[in-house]
Amino acid sequence: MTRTEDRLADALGAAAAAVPEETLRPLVAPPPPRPRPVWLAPAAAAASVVVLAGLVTAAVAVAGSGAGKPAGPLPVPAAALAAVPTYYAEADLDQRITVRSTATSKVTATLPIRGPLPAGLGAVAAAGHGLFFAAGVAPHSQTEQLYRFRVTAAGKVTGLTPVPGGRLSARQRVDGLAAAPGGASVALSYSTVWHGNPSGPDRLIVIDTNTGARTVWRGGTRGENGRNAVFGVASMSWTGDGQRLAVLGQWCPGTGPHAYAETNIFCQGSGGQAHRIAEAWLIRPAGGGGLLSRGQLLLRQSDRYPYLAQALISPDGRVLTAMVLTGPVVGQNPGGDGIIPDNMTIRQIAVPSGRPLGVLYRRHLGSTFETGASPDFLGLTGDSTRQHWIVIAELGHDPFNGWLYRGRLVPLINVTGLNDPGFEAW
Amino acid sequence: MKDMSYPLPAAGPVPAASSRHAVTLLFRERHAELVRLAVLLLGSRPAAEDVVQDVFTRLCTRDYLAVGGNPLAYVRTAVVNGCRSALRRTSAAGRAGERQNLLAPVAAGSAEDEVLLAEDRRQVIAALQALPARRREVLVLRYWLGLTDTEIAEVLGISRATVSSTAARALAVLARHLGEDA
Repeated sequence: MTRTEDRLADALGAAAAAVPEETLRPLVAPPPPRPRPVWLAPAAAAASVVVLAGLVTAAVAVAGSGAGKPAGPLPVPAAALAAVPTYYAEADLDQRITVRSTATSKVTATLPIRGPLPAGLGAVAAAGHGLFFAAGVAPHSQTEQLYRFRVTAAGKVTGLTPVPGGRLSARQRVDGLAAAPGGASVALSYSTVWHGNPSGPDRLIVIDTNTGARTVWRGGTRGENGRNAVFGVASMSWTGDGQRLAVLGQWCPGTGPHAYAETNIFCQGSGGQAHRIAEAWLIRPAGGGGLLSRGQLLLRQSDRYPYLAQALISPDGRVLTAMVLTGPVVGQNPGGDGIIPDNMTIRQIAVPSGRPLGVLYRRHLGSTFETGASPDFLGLTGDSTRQHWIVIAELGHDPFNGWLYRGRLVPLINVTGLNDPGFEAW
Repeated sequence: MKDMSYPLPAAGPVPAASSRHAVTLLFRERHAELVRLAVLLLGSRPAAEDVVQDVFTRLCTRDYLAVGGNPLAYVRTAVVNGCRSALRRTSAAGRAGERQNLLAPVAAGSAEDEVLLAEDRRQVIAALQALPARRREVLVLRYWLGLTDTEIAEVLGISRATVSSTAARALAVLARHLGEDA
């Protein structure tokens, strides 16, 4: 460097250092777009005007075709509110891990751990009866650790302790968590960070929370585990006995130089475009680790279920509650990024027959600028009974988050883009 | 799979992320850097923060990930362009007044050393601010962000050769202003 260059670099460094990060004005997210007109199906409209004495009122997003925005207050019976878990845990995009009230969405407790930076949210899972697990980074630590904690009747956190065998390496980022009822086992999926970004296929670890013993699982042999494979664990859920784990895996076909890069529901590669593949398997973690694809096949993505975003098993192992996207794809760039099917349904499916049992919720997603593997930000969480569901949809212009009540969505958090929920568990 | 990383350039596949998340996370990670970049280009911190906020707002309402390739370069380009627009809107007299407070107090040993170092830096910054916008941008991106000429070319939307020649000319002018040989 010449002297001029030295002096210039020094002066620029000093000028930049005169702008301390902590003194910057926080960024302000733009307000959400104005809601589109909402059309209610006659039955839904009729239901919305029923007023019951002693009801708790909550703003509700309207279910059904053509809906997509909060549609004003809808009475939620106190009994319905009483039946759902009083509190839920949340890992948000500010890397905070909190406990919130279901009725008010207000934070009742904040855990002293956070999601890791860069490229990590932290994660939460519920084991029932107030027992929760969270993956996060403690102050002054660089690596993620699995913790357990309890939420009191007042919504406070007690007994936050590390789980034996729950420490990850510095390159591993938790991107999914599921606790067996009672908390004896926790399944954890993670990606590996290279050059600041998660890369390569997801892996799954099942941890015995008493002994710390682990079993390790990976995809299959059809492109899920190649060096450049794009294999993601989309959802995990335990049966009621805590012995079986349902895993929804998504991946692109091909390996090595013919591997596809994931661009939403499609996979792009040197061989052209292909649809992403999804299968739900049921494994018995006690039998040791191995290939997820060697578990019992519960459901496969098909013409009937063209895009499986989430799939959670019932306590008895006979029913999958799946988030399914159907219909014409929407987005700004047909055939490439920004494309997802525009109808979302949360439906129950008998397994392994695939027979449809009913629809819990449906919503027209409409036009969205969503890109990347956006359906991964369609989250479905059930309580330990799999009777009560939380939905997270981080979708471009129309994000939403709430719990299901009689085919409708009771909002939990006003999703704004800055502190949106990443994981929720109850 | 829930992964919230923003898609910085990488050899592997672009990780899963919603556009909204990607914008938020990229700005969370790079907020200070982007404001500092804007400060160095504009010479005004309030204006720099406004530029970065504007870029953030615009990206929140459009298909950010559709930019493809190198999102960080895209955001830097947006900030650089925002700074140019801000400079066009601001009077030369006003800019000169705001630029006087760019440097923080220095700690260089004795009080005399501090004064000398601060004065030296002020001279350099003043000479930098006197350069045309394009030359200033090239120098800031190269000597503060440490970008290669290829990366600078991507951010500014010009050829690598233009970056090299612009930098050479800018350094020559700077050296002349500072009474040196470049």
